[in-house]
Amino acid sequence: MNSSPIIDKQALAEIYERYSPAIFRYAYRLLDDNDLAEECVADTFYRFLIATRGGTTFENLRAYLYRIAHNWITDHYRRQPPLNISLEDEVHADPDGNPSNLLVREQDRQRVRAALLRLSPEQRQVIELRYLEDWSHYDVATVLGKTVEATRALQYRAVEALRQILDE
Amino acid sequence: MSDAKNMRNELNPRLQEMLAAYGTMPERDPESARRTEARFMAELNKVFVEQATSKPAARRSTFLALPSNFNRLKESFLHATARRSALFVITALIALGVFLFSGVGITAYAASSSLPGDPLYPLKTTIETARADLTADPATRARLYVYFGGRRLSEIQSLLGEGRYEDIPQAAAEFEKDIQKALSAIESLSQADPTQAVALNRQIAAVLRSYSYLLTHLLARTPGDIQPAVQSAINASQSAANFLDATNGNDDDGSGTDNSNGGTHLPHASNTPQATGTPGPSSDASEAPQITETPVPLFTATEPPPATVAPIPSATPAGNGGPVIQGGDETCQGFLGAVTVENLEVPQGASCTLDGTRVQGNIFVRNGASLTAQRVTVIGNIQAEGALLVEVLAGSTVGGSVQLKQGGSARVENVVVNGDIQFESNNGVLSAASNQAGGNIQVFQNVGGVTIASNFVIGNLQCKENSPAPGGGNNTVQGSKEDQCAGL
Repeated sequence: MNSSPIIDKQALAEIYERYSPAIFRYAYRLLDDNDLAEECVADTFYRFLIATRGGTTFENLRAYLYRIAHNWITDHYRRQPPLNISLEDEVHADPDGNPSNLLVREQDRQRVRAALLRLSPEQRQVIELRYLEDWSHYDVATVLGKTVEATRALQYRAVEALRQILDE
Repeated sequence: MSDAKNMRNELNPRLQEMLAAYGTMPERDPESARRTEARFMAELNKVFVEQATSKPAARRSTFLALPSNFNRLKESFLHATARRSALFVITALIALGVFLFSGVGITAYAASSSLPGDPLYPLKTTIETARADLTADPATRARLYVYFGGRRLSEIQSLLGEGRYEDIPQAAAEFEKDIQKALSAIESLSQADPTQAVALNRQIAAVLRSYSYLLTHLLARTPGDIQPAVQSAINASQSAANFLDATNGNDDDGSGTDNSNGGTHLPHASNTPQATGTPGPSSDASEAPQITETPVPLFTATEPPPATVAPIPSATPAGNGGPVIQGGDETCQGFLGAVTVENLEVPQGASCTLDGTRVQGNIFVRNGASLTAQRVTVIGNIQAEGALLVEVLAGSTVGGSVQLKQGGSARVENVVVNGDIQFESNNGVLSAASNQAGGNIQVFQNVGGVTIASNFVIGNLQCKENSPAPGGGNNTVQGSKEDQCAGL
């Protein structure tokens, strides 16, 4: 039997290792900036540490971490509103790739991001978690602090709003 | 297809395409990721400090802001280890059991000895929840939650020892939650892999019955106004065990046949029936626990359940069809059913069959003797030296180790063993299959052939100098597979 004492901070490190890549992806998509996304990850887990030390109990840690990251991103844009990215802005393709495909994909990426930033924070979050992270309604409802039914309704409105913005 | 993917298909193709493009992102810069992780670790080191305990080999960690809590935990630990009562031996089953259903890295949590009501307790449960979240495999997740349930029982024991009765209901409630989560995981498994679910149901049901048994001991020491919480935990554990058996269709033949509906319907703790024959809230805490009608299928329908767990003088010696022995050290020649004894010995040359027997101490199988045991609960070890045949079979739980040396054939199959399974220098056919070992499986210098298959081992699987080399496979080993067993 392995009797070597391993302290709780290793368990916390394991939590970081497990969740930080997903939090980074989530942050990067919305921030479109590597350094900012890393900052969001660092701050999210710092807040987690502080909350843990303060005796907070987490029934759903994953939901908690996404909520912190979401709030961080929302606060970021509140302090520094995004530049008014036009949905028709020209985007330069990666010169090393297939120019036409990459150009279209990059344009799509930026258009969706710009459209998402025009949704309400909750609408944005439900799109992110449902369609980009493949979360269940139940898990999304946990993050949002809503019922599953309310989350479904929110998702419906979010998709409609996203469509309308992209169709403009 | 997942719920989310279903929804995605409802999006128009163009929106799907755009979302897919949005989801595509460049690989994370490794150097940036490393720096962020370093920041996290630095913060972690700021809020943690390692402190040496009185034992140089044992180091603990706690928050800087909580030194008094650390001392409290340390005192609690020392106090606990000083107690050597018979009940402590029983509860050691739980303490040992903390390793039983764990997965990779579970020892990280063994250091967290906080109790309900302690400032660090939320951290403990947070880490547990996260650990379960980390596990994609529902079978492992179920095992983890059952394991966490065992920790709750240890907490109740510690709280009783410290006289912190007011914190017991929290531990009991957390126990029920853990059991519910385990059942939820089993439900997922039953949908994904019904065959595996049947085997897991049987193993977990055996452990849950042990939990009920141990909780019943603790109930007797609990003040009357706290007893309903513990009773509720007993009911939850029994109900869950019964439910798992029913889900398996009481399939005790190991055939692996599943229930016909292919799914698992969970009992809810709040709906669990009250077990009969247990002390009510007003019972005297000094009374011996009453488990006369423990509705658990460890016992066959024709055999009475154990009337008591407290040692009382032996009424009759063991004999064929004589399941009336209560307590005391016993020898077994013939059949012994659902009775409770202290230690049990199978004398030289004798043959003993056990079914549903509870042994508070150890089982010793002497030279030339044979033992066939099924559905037994042994708090200590099963030890055999020079035995002709030893069979420890389905539904059995062993709190210590199974140690079989210099004998003939042996089978240890579908057994939950908190410690090690050891085969050493035997000359017959040996089999260790579908067991859960909290320690190691060690197979050394056997010459009759060994099969090691489908075991879940928390420690290591170690095989040396066997001829022929062991066969088998499909073992899940948290430690390492070594030497002749490296490929199993």
